[in-house]
Amino acid sequence: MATGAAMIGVLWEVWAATSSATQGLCKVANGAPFTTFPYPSQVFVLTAIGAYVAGHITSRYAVEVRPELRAGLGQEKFDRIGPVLVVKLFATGFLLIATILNLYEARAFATGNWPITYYVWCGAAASPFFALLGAAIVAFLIGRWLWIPR
Amino acid sequence: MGGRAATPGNRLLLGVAKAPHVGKVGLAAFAVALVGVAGAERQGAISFVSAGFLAFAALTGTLFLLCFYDLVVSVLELRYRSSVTGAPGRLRIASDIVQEYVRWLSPLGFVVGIIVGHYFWQ
Repeated sequence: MATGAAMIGVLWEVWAATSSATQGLCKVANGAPFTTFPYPSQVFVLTAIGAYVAGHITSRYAVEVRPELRAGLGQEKFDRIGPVLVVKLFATGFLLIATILNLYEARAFATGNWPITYYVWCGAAASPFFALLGAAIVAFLIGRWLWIPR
Repeated sequence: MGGRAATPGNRLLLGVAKAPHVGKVGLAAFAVALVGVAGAERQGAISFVSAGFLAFAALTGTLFLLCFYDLVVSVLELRYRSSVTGAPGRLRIASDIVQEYVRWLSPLGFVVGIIVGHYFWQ
């Protein structure tokens, strides 16, 4: 779960870093990444947790309106094999991508290349508000879709 | 339909779907990978940060292999109906206690993961 959130957040912030790099906001001094933020990093963590809980709270309303959503994958309304296979395919693909990204990150730190982490820090430094907004939106959707009340 | 169980595809499904210890093998492989990464880090072969990401890669890689196994069995079940092959119903949680844990798996995983991940990342 956290890996999924981190990966989607990474993709969002890589985009922000890439678009900000052309404006010189992401220069590296002596090979070190740009790591100063206008907000404490804990703000990102607390915002993500708050948005995640907010997503769950809104899903409670959705479940009250559509109680069939309480059924698990492969049960009751969702017992058709087609959607089950699609979900399994997405989960498998997601885990494969997460594994490749983690291996890339480990290799980048070992070889001295820029890891994704630096792009994320750079993106957050260049566009802190949008990075915060992106983290909140992703966390909200995860809480909405993956913490459904039973 | 009973005769189809003798085809190579059905034999493969029977063999794969009746492997009861796939999850345990996955856990063992994950544990071996963690020990290997920790040993490499202690010997100075890799940095602590690289070791952390390798440990995450071992976790997601193990989960990927288990999901891939489940996907393959599901596709084979679709091709050769489980009623023919006798494949067991998988991923069914019978225990109420375990179901109670599963209810809280998502929020606990998210909150603990994001806090631990944050301090590791920083």
